[in-house]
Amino acid sequence: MIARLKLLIVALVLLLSATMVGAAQNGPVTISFPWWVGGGTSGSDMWFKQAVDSFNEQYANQYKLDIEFLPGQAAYIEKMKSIFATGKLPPLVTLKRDPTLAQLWVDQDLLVDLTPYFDSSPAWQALSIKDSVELNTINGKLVAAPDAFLTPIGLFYNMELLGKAGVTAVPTTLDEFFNTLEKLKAAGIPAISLHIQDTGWSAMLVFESLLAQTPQGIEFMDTKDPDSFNKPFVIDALKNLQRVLQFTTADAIGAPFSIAANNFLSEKTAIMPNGPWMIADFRNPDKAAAGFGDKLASALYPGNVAVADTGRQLGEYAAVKGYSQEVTDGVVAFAKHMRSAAVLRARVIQLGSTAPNLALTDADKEQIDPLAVQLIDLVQRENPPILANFQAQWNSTIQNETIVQGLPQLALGNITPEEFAQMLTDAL
Amino acid sequence: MRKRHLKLWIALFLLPTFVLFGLIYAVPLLTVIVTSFTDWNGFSNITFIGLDNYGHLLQDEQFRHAFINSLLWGAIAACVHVPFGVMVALFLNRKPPGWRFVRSVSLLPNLIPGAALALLYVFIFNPGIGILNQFIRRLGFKDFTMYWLYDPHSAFLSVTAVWVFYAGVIILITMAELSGIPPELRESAMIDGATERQVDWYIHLPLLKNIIGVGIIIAVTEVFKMFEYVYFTTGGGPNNSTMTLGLMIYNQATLRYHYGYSNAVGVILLVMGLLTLYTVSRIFRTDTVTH
Repeated sequence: MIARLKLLIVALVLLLSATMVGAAQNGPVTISFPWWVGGGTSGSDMWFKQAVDSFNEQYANQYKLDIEFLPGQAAYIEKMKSIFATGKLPPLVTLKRDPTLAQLWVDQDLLVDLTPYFDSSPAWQALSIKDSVELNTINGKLVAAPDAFLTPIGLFYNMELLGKAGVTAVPTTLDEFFNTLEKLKAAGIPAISLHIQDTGWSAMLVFESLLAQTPQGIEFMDTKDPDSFNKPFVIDALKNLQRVLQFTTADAIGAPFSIAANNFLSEKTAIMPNGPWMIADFRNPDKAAAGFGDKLASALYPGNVAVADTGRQLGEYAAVKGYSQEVTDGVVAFAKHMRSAAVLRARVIQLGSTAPNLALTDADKEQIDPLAVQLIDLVQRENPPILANFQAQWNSTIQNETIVQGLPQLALGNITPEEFAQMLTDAL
Repeated sequence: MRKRHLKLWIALFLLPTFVLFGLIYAVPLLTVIVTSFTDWNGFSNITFIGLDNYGHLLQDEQFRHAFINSLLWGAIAACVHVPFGVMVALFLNRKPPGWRFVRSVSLLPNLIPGAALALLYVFIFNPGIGILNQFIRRLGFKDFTMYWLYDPHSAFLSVTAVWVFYAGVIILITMAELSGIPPELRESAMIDGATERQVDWYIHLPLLKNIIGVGIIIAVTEVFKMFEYVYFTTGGGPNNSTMTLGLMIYNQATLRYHYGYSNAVGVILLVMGLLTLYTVSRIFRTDTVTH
């Protein structure tokens, strides 16, 4: 009797296990990967989370995204380096955050050719930026989902603080810009929010704009991995950067970006270099006082220059070889979803990006923040040179070692622009 | 027969240890040593290049800075960090009021991850909002601004300040050793008229020779491979004045993808650690019994 009972229990357990395994095999395919956006409360995080939720809803029975959100781009790059060293990349990676790493993956042919998927989707093709399709096609293979939007990066001015310094209009030329900085300083207002820690990207974006005051500078920023920084126009730009660095806050040296942002949001500084994704913070009552956003004006960099966060780099979403067809299909489905009209529309409205191939209705346009509209209008009206982001054009050593060491010393006057140019060249 | 069976059982029980040691220590160590003679980016084919990496190291200014900094910090660890810990332990051994509290508090920095501690000091040393500059301004120097982590004259000492007085481990092991010293030695010395200081100097310190030696080995090898304190504060700057071998290994491997070169630095670090172990053991004769 007891023996029969034991046999029955074993049979039931086996049956249950088989059912569960069967259910697991028939359930949605799980796609696990790390990502650096979506884990916080910024505008970009909110947009990404919404896009992921809508994907999970749309593909509820087919795919399930299991995303490990990392605190920032640097954490993502570190994680990817560690994972890459173990030999097994996650099924979805980005090629945007570390150009050296991305190039290694491309060179070692680790990425799925997305051409068949892209060619079979007219909607995807229609929304993609043609230049980005060409940029992401290497040796005849489409290595990543092409970009469908551009996010021009410029400056935000606190017009109220500018007014206190006797400045009534946003500067457009370099001379006007320095004049504005001088007047703000004379009025006792630290002019510009910068952070000089890690890659010091806010200061380096200003540097890019200073480079772009000459055609050679524009061409220089168009070149991936330049051969030398010891060029007269680069050194002139570094001299101007050193001058701009005198107009920032005392805590800029050694400060992370959050301190620079906080200085601007708490109206200690008058100028902030950043992209339109920061606009959500200007209207966020947890981050800025009520009405703060209404005091601001968007602008291009002096000399009517903008920097592009996207569109000049390899793609955001790439599928890695070595996974099952279901997983690869799921990754591509997610990449397509992130380039779909609905997600792009949300991006344009929430983060101020421009999607050149997306038709916006009047109702859509009304939802876009006036500051983003201002920047988009400027880009469309002035047709400025839109520079590639230095983070896409220069190698990891320059970004994470040379700038980390050299930029604070340039700011303190401990090294000359010529010496900094030499340091950058030595890191090539 | 029984003896043979016993040996077999001993071998079987030791086998997991050896396997784990091999996998976790021996194999990676051999890999580091072998690949230090290669040109390897960590991912593609390995090319044997003999002693080229070591030859390049001799000419590498960054390595020179890192090597000298490591030796200097090692000397500071041996001559300041450890003696400070031993002094505090000797003082706490007298059990003054609140000694338990001080002993517990002294360990707190050792419980904080190195990265968190370094980030804390980034804010302490911040030239604008940092509490150090603000404190000095409150003393009357209203315009005082020092770029502690970025001035070449102060960066090295500022990074040193992050760890030099956090001697919780040294305090703990010294106090543990002190508790093992027979109390009769102290009592008989006190009866003979010795002061507390004389007891510490002539009785406790000689008997602490072994543990001081161990403490120096621990502290010096820790600073040789120091990484987080420098990575999160100065990044090795300004001008490599705070570069360490640990950070150099990281930069060469993960930023420049020079794994072979990075492993050559790792081998140098290993040799420095072994030399430290041997030298300190010989000087302090850590293998002899003291009491």
